[in-house]
Amino acid sequence: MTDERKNPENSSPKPEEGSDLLRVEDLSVAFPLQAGGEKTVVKHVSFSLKEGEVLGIAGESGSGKSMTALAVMGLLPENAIRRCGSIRFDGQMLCKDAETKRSFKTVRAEKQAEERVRQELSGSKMTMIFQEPLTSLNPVMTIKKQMEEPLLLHTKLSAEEREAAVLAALRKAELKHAKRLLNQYPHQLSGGMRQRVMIAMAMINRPRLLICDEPTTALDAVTEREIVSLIRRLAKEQNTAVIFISHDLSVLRSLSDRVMIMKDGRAVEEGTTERVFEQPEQEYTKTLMKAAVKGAKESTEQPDSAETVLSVEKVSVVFKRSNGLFRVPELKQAVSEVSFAVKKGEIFGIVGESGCGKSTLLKAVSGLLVHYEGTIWRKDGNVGVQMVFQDPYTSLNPAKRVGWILEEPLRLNTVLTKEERRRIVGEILKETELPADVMNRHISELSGGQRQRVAIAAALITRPELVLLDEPVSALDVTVQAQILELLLRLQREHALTYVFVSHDMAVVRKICDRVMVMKDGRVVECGATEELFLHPKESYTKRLMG
Amino acid sequence: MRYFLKKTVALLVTLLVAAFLTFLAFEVIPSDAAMAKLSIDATEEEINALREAMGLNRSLPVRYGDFLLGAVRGDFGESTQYGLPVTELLSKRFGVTLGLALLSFVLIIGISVPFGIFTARAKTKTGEGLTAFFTQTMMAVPAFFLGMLITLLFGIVLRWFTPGAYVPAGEDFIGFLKFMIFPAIAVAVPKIGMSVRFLQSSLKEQLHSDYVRTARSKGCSKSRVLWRHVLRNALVPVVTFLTMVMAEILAGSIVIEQVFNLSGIGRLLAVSIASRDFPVVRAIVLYTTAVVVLLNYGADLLCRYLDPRIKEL
Amino acid sequence: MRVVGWFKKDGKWKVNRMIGLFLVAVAVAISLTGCFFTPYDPNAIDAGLKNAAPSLSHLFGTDNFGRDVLSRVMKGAGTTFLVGLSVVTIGAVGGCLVGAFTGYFGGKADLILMRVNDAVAAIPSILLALVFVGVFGSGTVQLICALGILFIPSFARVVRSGFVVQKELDYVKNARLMGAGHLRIMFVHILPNIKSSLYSALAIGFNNAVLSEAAMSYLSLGVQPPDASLGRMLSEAQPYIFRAPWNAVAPGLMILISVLGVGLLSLEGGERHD
Repeated sequence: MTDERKNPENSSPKPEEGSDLLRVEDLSVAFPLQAGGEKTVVKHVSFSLKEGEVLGIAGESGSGKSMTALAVMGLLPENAIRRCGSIRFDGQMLCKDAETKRSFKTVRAEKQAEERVRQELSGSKMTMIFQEPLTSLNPVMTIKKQMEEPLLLHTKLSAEEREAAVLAALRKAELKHAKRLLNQYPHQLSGGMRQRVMIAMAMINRPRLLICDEPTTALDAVTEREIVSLIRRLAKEQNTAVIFISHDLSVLRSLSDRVMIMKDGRAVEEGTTERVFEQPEQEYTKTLMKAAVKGAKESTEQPDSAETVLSVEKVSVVFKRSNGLFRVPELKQAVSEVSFAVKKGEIFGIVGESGCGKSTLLKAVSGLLVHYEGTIWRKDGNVGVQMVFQDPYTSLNPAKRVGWILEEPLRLNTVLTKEERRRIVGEILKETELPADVMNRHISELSGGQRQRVAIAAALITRPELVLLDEPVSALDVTVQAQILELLLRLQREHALTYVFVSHDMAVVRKICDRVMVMKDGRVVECGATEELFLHPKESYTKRLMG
Repeated sequence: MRYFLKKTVALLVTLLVAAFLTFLAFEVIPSDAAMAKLSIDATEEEINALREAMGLNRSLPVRYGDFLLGAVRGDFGESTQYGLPVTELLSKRFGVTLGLALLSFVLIIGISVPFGIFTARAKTKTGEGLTAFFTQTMMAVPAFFLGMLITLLFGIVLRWFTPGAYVPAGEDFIGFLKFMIFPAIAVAVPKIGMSVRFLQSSLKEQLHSDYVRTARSKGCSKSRVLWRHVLRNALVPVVTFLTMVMAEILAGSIVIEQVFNLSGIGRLLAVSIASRDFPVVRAIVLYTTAVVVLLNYGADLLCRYLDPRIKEL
Repeated sequence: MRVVGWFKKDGKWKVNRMIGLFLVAVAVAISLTGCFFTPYDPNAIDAGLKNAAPSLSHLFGTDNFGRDVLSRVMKGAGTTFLVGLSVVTIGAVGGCLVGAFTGYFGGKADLILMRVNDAVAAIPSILLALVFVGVFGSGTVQLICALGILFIPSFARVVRSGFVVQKELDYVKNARLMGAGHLRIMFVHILPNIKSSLYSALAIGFNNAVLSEAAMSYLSLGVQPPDASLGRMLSEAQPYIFRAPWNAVAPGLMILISVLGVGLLSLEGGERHD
């Protein structure tokens, strides 16, 4: 290491204008399969990146976008098989074609050489941040220890200089009380703060490339916007090139110079952000753009005289948290004095950030939570309310087959014979557009969209009037999201269902709900007709939430 | 500080409960100490007289109080079999068991920690399979069978040690080691299998966690990731596990002392149970429980220091 | 195809699992045969044939009383496995009930019971078994009861930790909304989801039970003479270990192959999927 490293600001020699910082050619990644053979998850992907440029990579889950990024960083899981034409970073070859036959010794020597180059580059010239900031930070190391590690490894700064650099980086990442943070542990910070620490740590050596793998997916809408603008600002200030991976097209549109769309391991389309979003060439890109939920609900006439199906009056929920046998329990007000009423055939939305009490409120409405104050009245009494949860993988019993899961509500609530139950299950499968053979499969064998269809089928099989939907599309890919929303709307029309729809996604709520209630810290902020609320929000919090 | 106080209170409560259970266990026995001490054809009067003398006809709480007081002062009464104070019997044998336990523990740590780390880094499927096979084999050998084989091979055929010729560590440390290493191996082998497996799986789990990826993205070398990041995280479950191993060593030594003819606490316990010498059994059970509970207490405090996430509970 | 899949992963044969199956099959075959047929009466004493070396008529030789070692191993393995199975059954049924109720309902009862459980689990089971036998006397039935009860906490812990995780999952809430009762949720909905951890607990439990039986009988506190059990045989063989090592080797190997077999069968793949 040379002495100029000590001052990272003017260390790297300026590359000639127009040359690429990163060039990936013909990259493929595969995994060995259980039954033998292998599954290719990234197929012949090539792209390049200029100094200071922001490249967005979009795609649904399983499209290979994360694996592409990990391959560039050299962080693929150990059982992954990488085949690449070449990856060049800043003129240096990071990996060579693995297809040509070489002796075992040469391969090992090459691997060691690559490892050396990577250690040199990682953390100094190229860095990465990840989706889940809590697990991505070392839980038993203080923030300071973790943040100074890149300095320790790549510079010759003294202990005092390192501490100063860490403080400066934390402040740049807009973290307050930076001094106090130094000796804290990751679990003591909030999700947004952790991701800021990750960013500060990644940027501490002024890298030339920053790879962000869905860095905001685990965060709230408001925090997400702050994090995205922080990344944008820091990258601009330090002229860092960014690869930003996301399934959220709107984020990519606001952030990136160029976009690459991936599907099933292939790069389907690539171009400047403007061109791809305005004139997509490929069919898949077009579906993806269309699928992104936007616009208002096509208004359906609401009969004014409709009867009330659900009424909630001054409901409060207080949680007791007791940690030990002999401890006075702590009290936490999760919901305070919430009132609303839902009419038959209506879709009523409840929105708010995580922790605002919307899920707790829904639990009280469903009857899963019985310790609340106030009154909840449901037209159909205690039976008949059904719920669709966010993640169908956990809301449907993974140990049972779909047929069993769908029959269970009938088994519990009716006296039908086995044949009759089977017939009803067959009908509901048709109605939710599922093939009949899913009956004999386990949930793990279905796709995300199919799983959520099964969850909807299970909720509707007893023909309830009121269905509670707890973030039913948040865990799904955009194209699937659109299909599920369509299905929900169709079923609602056909059976005159009433939905209570809880979500943090404003676009989805706007698309599907007739009326919306905004919640914050357990209280109702605002409540009204959807379009009215979106076009003319009264409260500043609502405005902030809408972006 | 609050954690410390809380744990200490919990420790005392556990000790009291354990003492009570040990006390009670030997109160429900159909034949009490007086009957055990006399021959079968003793008359009712003789038994009652002895009960009176031994204080057995007082109320239960009073006797428990007495028992506790005695336990605190180290007075557990007299052995019905040997006619000696229990404390004296125990103190003579204590050194043997302690020496065996410590030596086995050193062996276990010294062998399984390097092997655990080594096997956790092994990548090939064949290596994984071999490790699994060998650790399972070590765990499947009954310790006393191994002890017998060791006696046969090293004691009788090769004559590397004389079976039954125990040398106290205070007199001749090298001689002590030369003898004690064999029973210690018998105690240690099954536990080494267990420990290697545990270390391997907990290190592997840590090696696959997200923070390892972050550390690599900072430019840490593989060995730095292992030594600076992974080991520190794996330490908490390992400490808890080793505490359990320590307790099991104490249990394992009961049988091994029998095999190698060592007069330690474990052998005394087995003999006392067979001859229904309850004052001795009671004292040994109480002492062993106390040692185990204290070990756990120490491990809890250590874990609290090692992992900042363990909050004040 | 299914059967092959059980022995193959990532295109490679799982050698350990195959060895395990083979060893278990051998152990089961020997002990089952021993229930109906043994070459000699396992308790028949032949004073003229003390500690005879293995020969064609006595494949594993004879012991100090001139009893045929092979016959005794065949019979003794049955006793040992019976003790192991009974102990695991008591422990698993009791542990499932305790673990399911405490894990599912939680609350103060759970806290107290788990503290007790931790305390019991912290103390080595053989020590407690010794105390139990000390109190209630030695014998096969007492041994089964003692070990069975002592194995409850370890099963309860496995089941409880599974229930604590599972009960928070949405499918349990879903089942409640469908109108399923608590018992149905616990044993029809949740229990199948902790199958795999229960299986490995069963295997570990069985092995511990066999080893504990052997140790207890070795200390003369388990199965009583003249009945054969593998631990008992080892105990009787010890004084003659030099003159007649086959007396010890045969039952020792029998314990080894059965425990190793079950252990290898229960090895989880350890591989991860992406």
